[in-house]
Amino acid sequence: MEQTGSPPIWRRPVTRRAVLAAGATGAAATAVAVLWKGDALGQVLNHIRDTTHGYQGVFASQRVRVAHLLRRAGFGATPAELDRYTAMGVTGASSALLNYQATSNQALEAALPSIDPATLAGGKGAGTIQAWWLQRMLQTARPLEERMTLFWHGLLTSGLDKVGPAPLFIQNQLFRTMALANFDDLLKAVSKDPAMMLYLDTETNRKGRPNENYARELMELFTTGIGHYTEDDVRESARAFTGWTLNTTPKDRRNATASSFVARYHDDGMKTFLGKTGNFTGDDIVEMLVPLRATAERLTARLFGFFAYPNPDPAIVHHLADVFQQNRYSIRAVVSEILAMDAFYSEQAYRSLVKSPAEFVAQSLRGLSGGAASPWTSGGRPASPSPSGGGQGGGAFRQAATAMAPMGQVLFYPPNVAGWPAGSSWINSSTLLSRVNFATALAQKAGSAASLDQLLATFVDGTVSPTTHDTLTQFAHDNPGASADLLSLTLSTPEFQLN
Amino acid sequence: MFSRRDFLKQGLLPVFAGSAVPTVFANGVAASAADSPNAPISDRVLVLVQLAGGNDGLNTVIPTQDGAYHDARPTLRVDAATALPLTASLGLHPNLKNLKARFDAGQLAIVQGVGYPSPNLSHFASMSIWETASVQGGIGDGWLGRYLNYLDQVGESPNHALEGLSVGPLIAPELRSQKTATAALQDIQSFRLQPLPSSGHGTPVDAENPLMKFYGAFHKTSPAPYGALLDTTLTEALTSSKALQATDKAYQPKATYPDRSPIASSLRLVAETLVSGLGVRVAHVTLGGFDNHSNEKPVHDRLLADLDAALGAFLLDLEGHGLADRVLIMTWSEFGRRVTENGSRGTDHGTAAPMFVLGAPVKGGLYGETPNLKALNNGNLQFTTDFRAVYATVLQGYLKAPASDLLGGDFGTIPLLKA
Repeated sequence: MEQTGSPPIWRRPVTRRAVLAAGATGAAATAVAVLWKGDALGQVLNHIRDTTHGYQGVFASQRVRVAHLLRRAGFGATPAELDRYTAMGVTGASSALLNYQATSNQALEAALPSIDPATLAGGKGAGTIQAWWLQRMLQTARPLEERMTLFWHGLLTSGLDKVGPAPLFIQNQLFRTMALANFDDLLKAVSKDPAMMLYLDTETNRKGRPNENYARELMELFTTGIGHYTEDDVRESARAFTGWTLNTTPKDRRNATASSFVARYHDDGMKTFLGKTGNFTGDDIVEMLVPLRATAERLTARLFGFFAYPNPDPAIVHHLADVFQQNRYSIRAVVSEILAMDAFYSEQAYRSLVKSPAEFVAQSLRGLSGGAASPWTSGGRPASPSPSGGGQGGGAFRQAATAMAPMGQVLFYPPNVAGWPAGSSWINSSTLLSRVNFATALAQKAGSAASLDQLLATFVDGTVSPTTHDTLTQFAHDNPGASADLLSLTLSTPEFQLN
Repeated sequence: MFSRRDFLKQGLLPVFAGSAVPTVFANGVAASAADSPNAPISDRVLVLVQLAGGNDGLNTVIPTQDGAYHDARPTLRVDAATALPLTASLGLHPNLKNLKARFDAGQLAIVQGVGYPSPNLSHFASMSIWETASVQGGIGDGWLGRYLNYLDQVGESPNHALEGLSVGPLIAPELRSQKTATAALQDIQSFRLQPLPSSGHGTPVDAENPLMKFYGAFHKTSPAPYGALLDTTLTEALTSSKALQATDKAYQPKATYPDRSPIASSLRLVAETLVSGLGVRVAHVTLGGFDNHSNEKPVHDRLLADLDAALGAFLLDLEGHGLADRVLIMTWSEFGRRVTENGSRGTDHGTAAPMFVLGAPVKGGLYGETPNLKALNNGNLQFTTDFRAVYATVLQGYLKAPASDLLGGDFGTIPLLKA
């Protein structure tokens, strides 16, 4: 790491001499000249500091490394959690996150409402499972497990537009159970998962009357991507996936929670797929797609983009694809590798992602001291009664889950089969206003007694642009006692919109 | 270089100073007040209606007398007796009653068999092709983003945050542009900045608003790629919310929009921005749910009924406000469906389908060739009109923009506009 001894430049006090020195060079001089006209010296000073601001050396702090890890491999941290993981060291923290089976999640399970899928069919079922999942994100002792569940939901999509809450609830648990499984095993399970069968129509894919929907998206979106198969491959593999049916009456299809294989529905004729001919089943198709290099590169690039930064160098993808293929398509091996890479802790990675609404809401609530003790979800204002009955504040979780909608994300309701587009598409005038208004509403409900320094340390690693810092400091000075406002403003900073 | 962000920021200053309508919006407001039967080019608005998922063209404009259609759709065919007749051999889906009335009034052009060479049957690849008007697709500027850039270049941009308006949570890719920021809007009521809780600080937008300071400074640092985007977006949000709140109370719809219909709410919102004169040049609304691989009929019937009712109300509303001459509506979908229904009482991905071009500026009628159901390619229709010819017609004929430059080629035009 560069930068160890002296504080990074944007934290050093800026002297007039430094300003003049900086102003004397190149483009900065022009900028100063422009700014100088009619502008106060203070603004010029800020401009110089802002343009020289960067994230060099930010990872010199172990606490920042761990906070970054918990934002990427989890949903942020309460101050107490951050203390606990920092004490483990970065390697220890990664290892604890990865080997989450060793961590009891008993407290969460006890706090969660118990959900009987049979009762989810009514109008409130969607809200119930959304609140349930957000509560998991906030209170889990196994952050990576929950994070990977969200990853799979965004890749192997199914949604409420076509599927009832009960099968989606079952699918969500499948993703959690197999969060770090081998990819071929996961795809085989997903192919027979009732929610997926409903969403991409394998439930009505029958011998002699094939339905191409699942076969196409399996290749285009879940494995190789476009360009590695033909329309004939789509048609032939659709035949291979025939035979699976939902254990339900036609009237109750949307709420099916189990599936089974019926031999007479299966087309057991010969199929030609990717140049091979045989009496293939759906599992055979998965076994032919997963080993392909295109699958390895596409999936590992997506995982890297989810955890580290978008558009990685081909060498990184190449390496991760090797790891994937050499470890029998183990997702655990790939994620473990990503979290150990220097690239994961590089300046290129720092704040290189836009928080999704789920991350924005969950990190806001967790940071409040979150999860269980959060005033939003338990104390403070009484939570509205939860129809799902469970634990404390089901209604509040429901409210928070609903607040994501105007930010562009509704859990269990991706916009289409390709899931949510990430990155800059989360940011537009409408969604940004919704984020700021959420921060204000949250601050109003939760209140805050935290100092500015505490807020910045909790939410933005204490690392913000000089102007953000000065503006907040000035605001705190001008508005004594307005701690809730400081909380709202901290959650509204551009820094906190990034991850 | 004077950026659009800078321009909008300057536009904010009069807002801070407390004037009700900032100068940057004055042109838009004046233009709507001075509505004329021959709308000046600068007042013309294009409204795109995306039918997402792949609309079943054969069950939208129905070849009622074609035995091949009858045979290919044993459970899904629309009965010739119920279709709303357009010609002796073609009918509209029975739920498209308002569109039929507009067709009879000479305000609906139906372009048949629209597609492109080597059709792509992936939703996302095909959407991208339509959105970028490039058969390579990709993530470049949308075709209307390029149009907005063009307006900027020739000095005709209204420089308003709502110049390109996407209704919904995301920016429509057609409007995407590296140079021109566009707005996404879901509803006007929630599109305002709430005051801070304890100090009450932060009247919706004011010069001392800390947010303006954060975002304005942050974009100058570039350790991450999002600084400029965040700053521009915040400025757009504050500018357009301020403008919308100032005019919100003025709008009274002149038609009854259906309740609980997202597409109707979307079009109502577009009407509101148009009536309020907020500088909208291109608006995009989406009706999703057309990917009916199974049990298509009830879903498709309902979607078309929703579409028809919403468009009917929208047109009445525009007419009531004297805006109908300024607005052209165009529907599109990434592809049609397979000719032969599948075993799930649904249809798989297909190719060519009709487009609707609707409104007072249109010379109604049927355009293009009806696709031949007996000359299929892999079970799919062969297109007869390139979608870029429809785009070129709208760009060149209606918006008076250089279509060949914006589309990267000459695709011809279709005489579907009034002279």
